[in-house]
Amino acid sequence: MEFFASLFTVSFLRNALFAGLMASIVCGVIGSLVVVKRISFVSGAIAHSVLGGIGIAYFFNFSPIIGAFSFAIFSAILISIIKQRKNQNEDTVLSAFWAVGMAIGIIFMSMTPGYNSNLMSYLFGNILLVTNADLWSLLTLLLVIISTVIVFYRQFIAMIFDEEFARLKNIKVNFLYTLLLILISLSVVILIRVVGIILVIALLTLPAAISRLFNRSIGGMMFWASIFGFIFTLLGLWLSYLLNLPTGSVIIVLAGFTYIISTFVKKG
Amino acid sequence: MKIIEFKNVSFNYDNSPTLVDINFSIESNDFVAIVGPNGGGKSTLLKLILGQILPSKGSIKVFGDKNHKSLERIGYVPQFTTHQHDFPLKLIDMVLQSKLRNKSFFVRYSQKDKLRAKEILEMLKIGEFKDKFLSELSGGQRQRALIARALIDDPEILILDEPTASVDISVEQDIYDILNDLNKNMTILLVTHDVNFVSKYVNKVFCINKYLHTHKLDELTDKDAQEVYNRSMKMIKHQCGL
Repeated sequence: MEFFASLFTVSFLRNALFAGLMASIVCGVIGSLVVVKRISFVSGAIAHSVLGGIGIAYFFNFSPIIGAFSFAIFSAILISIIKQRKNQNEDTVLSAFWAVGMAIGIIFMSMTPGYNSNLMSYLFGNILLVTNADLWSLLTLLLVIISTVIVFYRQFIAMIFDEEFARLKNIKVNFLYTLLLILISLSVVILIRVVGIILVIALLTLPAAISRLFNRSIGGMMFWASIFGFIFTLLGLWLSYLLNLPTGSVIIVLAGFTYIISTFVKKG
Repeated sequence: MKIIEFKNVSFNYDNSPTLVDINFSIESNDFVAIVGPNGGGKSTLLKLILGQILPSKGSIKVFGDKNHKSLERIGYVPQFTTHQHDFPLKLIDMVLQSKLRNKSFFVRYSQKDKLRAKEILEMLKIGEFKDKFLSELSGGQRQRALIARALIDDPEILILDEPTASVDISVEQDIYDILNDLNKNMTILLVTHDVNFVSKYVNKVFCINKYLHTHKLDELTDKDAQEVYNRSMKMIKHQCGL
């Protein structure tokens, strides 16, 4: 109980709580789109390539969020172009993105003093280090993501359900796909603060996948995925505080186990 | 009026020719069946009509226009296998997607579109399922839903890609009866495996196996004469390599 009281009094715990809340909403909304479009692998590639931007930002001494942000958008656009070319080796190209982005990040970080602790915090996240300034930028990104999804909602769903048909109706499928990838990259930038790059795909997909098992509508999926995400974050914070474990990893383990259990519950 | 016109159209995937020197025209109120072996070029032909790919040679006019600017006047019913069967979408919302355009923003559809959707669903006898999710529908209901989605936008030609591939025989009969009714007001183009079944409805059969042969069934003066009919079916099957 002492923990839950300090969530509101201790500033770093309070910040962690807000960051977790925003991350959960993002997971719910964007994660549901990722899950129904079946592009977790694409999201993974975007997430990992972001490290390149962070490394460069560290080296040239500007804000890592800006580095992450520009790299994420850059890779989203590039991946979308590759997909539109109907490249047969899409998965190979994605893997290359995944690996090369990380490699660039690590090279730049290794040239910057104190790289070890920074690297770990971006790979695995450190929700306890979220600052007030971070919270404001996260909030801005969150609002951008939510309002874009609201405006393009019907077009997104049509594109995800049946690209061919959407094209016939003059829906700009390529534009929407690129936009979706950009939203994913923005989400990745938010989620990195909470769980880190390595675990970001899990937080983006697991709550939505669990929610899909028990919801038949996309709206319901989004709502419940957000709730699940928040529960995992809250429990993860608490358990990691009690047991002195890395928060991001605890959150993911909780989400992963819940997913496995829910698939069994669903079958039974 | 010519709805679709192909002149000397060829198409190659990489270096192997898929379609060679295709010539045909589809007039309004035609009911055309496209038959042919797998890999014979049926789906390539549809993609060319829908402007998803461009011909290597020759010219294609849809509604008299070469640039595929009138695609929304085409009602397209894809194979259901191309979709996720458990996609989290209600029947009515899936059907309404047909009313989307480039500038359709936000979450709501207009009352007028919703009424039109209900009418079409009633006509296809799936009105009672409008609030069901796709995962709760049978194969036949899903297939009708896809037809409904194409129809709500009042197309002038309906193009169907194997609409009866995943349904049982009674549903198949139903779907052809529906198409037969629709044919009074619109042109229909249908890809199918089963030339026997559709032969009593269609007036042209296109056989596609890299080349195209057109058979005009309405030229058979006496369709009921079993022997003439059987002979012409045999010939069609033979020429199409079925």
